[in-house]
Amino acid sequence: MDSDTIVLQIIGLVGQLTATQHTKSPDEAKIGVKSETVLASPQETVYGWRESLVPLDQELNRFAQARDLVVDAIDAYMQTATSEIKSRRNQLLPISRLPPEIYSLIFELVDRVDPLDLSRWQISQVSKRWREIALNTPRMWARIDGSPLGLTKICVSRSKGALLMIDSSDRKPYDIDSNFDDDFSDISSELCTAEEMFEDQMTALGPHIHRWRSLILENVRASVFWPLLGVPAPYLEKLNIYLEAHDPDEPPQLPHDLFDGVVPHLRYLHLERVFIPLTSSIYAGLTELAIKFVDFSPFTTEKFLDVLRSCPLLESLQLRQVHMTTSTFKSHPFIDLPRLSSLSLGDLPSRAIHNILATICSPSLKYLLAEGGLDVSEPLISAFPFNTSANFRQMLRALPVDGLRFTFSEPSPTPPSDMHCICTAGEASGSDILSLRLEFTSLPHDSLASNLFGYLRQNLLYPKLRSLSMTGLTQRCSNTSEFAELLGDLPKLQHLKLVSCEPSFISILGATSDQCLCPQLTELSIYRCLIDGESLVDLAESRRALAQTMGDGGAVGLHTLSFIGRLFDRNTESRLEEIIPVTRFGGDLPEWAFRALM
Amino acid sequence: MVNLVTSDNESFTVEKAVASRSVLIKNMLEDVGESDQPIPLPNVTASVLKKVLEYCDHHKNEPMPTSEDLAAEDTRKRTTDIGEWDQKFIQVDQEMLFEIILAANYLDIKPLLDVGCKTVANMIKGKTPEEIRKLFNIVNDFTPEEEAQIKKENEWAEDR
Repeated sequence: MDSDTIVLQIIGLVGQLTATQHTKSPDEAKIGVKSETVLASPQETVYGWRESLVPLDQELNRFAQARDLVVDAIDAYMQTATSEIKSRRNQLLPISRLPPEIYSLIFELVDRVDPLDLSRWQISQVSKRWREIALNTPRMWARIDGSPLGLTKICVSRSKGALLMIDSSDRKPYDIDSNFDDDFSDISSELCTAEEMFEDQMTALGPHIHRWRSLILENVRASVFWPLLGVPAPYLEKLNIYLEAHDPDEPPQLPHDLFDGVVPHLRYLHLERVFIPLTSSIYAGLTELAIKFVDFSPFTTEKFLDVLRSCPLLESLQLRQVHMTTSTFKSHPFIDLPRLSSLSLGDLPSRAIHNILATICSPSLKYLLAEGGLDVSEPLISAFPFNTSANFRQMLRALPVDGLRFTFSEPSPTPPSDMHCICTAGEASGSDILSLRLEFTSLPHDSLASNLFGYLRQNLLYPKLRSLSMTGLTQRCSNTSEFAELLGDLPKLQHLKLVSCEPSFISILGATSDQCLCPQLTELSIYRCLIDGESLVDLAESRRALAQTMGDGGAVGLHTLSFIGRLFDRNTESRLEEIIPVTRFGGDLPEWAFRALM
Repeated sequence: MVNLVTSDNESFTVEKAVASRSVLIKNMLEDVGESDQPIPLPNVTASVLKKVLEYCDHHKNEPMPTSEDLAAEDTRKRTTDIGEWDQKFIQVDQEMLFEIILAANYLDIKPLLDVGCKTVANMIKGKTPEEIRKLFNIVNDFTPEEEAQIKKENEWAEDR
């Protein structure tokens, strides 16, 4: 009600009141006649007067109602006027000089960085102008989270035509990689809650699939979401669906593909424990693909390679515990993935790793993780196509690696049914370690160990390698001459770490007048190796002597020695301290402390 | 060199590379070609232009954001992080801050507009409506009826 209307209403009411005062009612007229003509008893008079007061009471009530109306109208007028004055005062503030589009920019920025999702609601309560602008900033309302249906409806309505970003998860980014061994006893109730909420929300969101930009869906099974996502999502860019526990649920037998197969802008796809057939159109044209804990047994590795073929702009591929039917390697046409910079194949069968690594051609790779089981009879090349794929060799050589780390673990009393090998290289996100790591969690058998260094020497070729770490190196997995040949190819090596290695592999570092392996070696770390002090003194002394003979530009002596294990006598330690400027000696550590050090 | 004239009739002679950080001025220079004619900037005062030119001078060697950059930024989750130099530069009183934002908007200097907006966003971030009002000296101009309605909506949002 505007102020003019209120004023007019007040004038009208006052006019009515005045008119009432000047008009004698029929009752009043009657009382007048009665009082003039009849002389009644006192009781009758009192009774008569009481009766005659009723119309007056009624009149008074009417006056009171009218007064209340007037007061209310004046209050409303005052409130509106005060609010208007306040708004005008706000208009004079420096911030009010900003045009609405700048306010919108600022509001969007605040909203996007607010982890608690309260900003948009708070911003819209500051003042009339802020509210009006906030309500007319559709992108501020385009983020839909797991809110009650009422709020979702408000957001959908205020987002107008903006592309919607829907996140139904409670999971924070840091625990995306949850441990799948967790206790999921409550999972069925969580599923029901999440699924009911999703179905509920879909009543508001379903009619707007055409303007979905992203969807993150947690604990909603395919049998529930599939029938609801059957129409095209032409602007969908990101799809992340995950279940917290293993689930046998598969998509229902419906004639349509997810989103009717129409997701031309989908670039980012994460699936965890959710099976979507590899024939689905959602796998095409991606730049980031991550699949975890999915059994794709109905499909072969070749079918998965077709998926990769349909994503020529793929930048990141992550597979973990993904099962596919894998036959022995057959040569396929290479798949060019020129933008692939991160490749992570975790807990895959060796053949699947082999087939993928042997088929893709990714010259821009910056990070590689390959982790898989090897059968007892399988050689290393079952997983790593050192000898079959020139592409793989090129890819490894191009990796930005300046450190190598090998781990040959001790044989366990009860050998595992399969062996495990891990290979990581390059820079993992969030880590500044640049290294290639090959790790074997059980002692390699002959076929694996034989020629391992041969493969590496032929294929890796890191002449500029600065750091090398070997764990568990014994005569059972290699021999000293092979190791010496490997070191011979690493002239720039500066740091060598040997953990639980046989002493013969350390002794080869001793220099003679005509031979010195790794002449630039300045730092030697020896942990838990049974080398005697005298051999170590000889080694250090021989390298120092050669360095002194050759002078600048030739070999350098050891600068740092870190030793953990059985301590030497004081005399040996003094001699080593005399030869090597920095020495650190530590007795054998408890296992936990040793692991922490590693 | 380019000659710029402010609304309060002050003249600034600056390098073309500095002036061209403003897309508005850059387009004007391209349209006019080589000319000694001063460029009038009727929406910018001398004190504000001085600050804006300080920013442009510092960033004159940086590549101009392309339309692809802007589109990509739009898609990505934007942050409110501001570079160290820019943070110091934008430590001004509120009045000047809003004037710089207005000037950046008028002169079409997207990175400066970004710095200004991010600064205001950082000021607002995490504050209650009352704290925001206090910060900018805003008076609550809602009528009690409107306030009751908003309060209801807010309770809903907070109870999620």
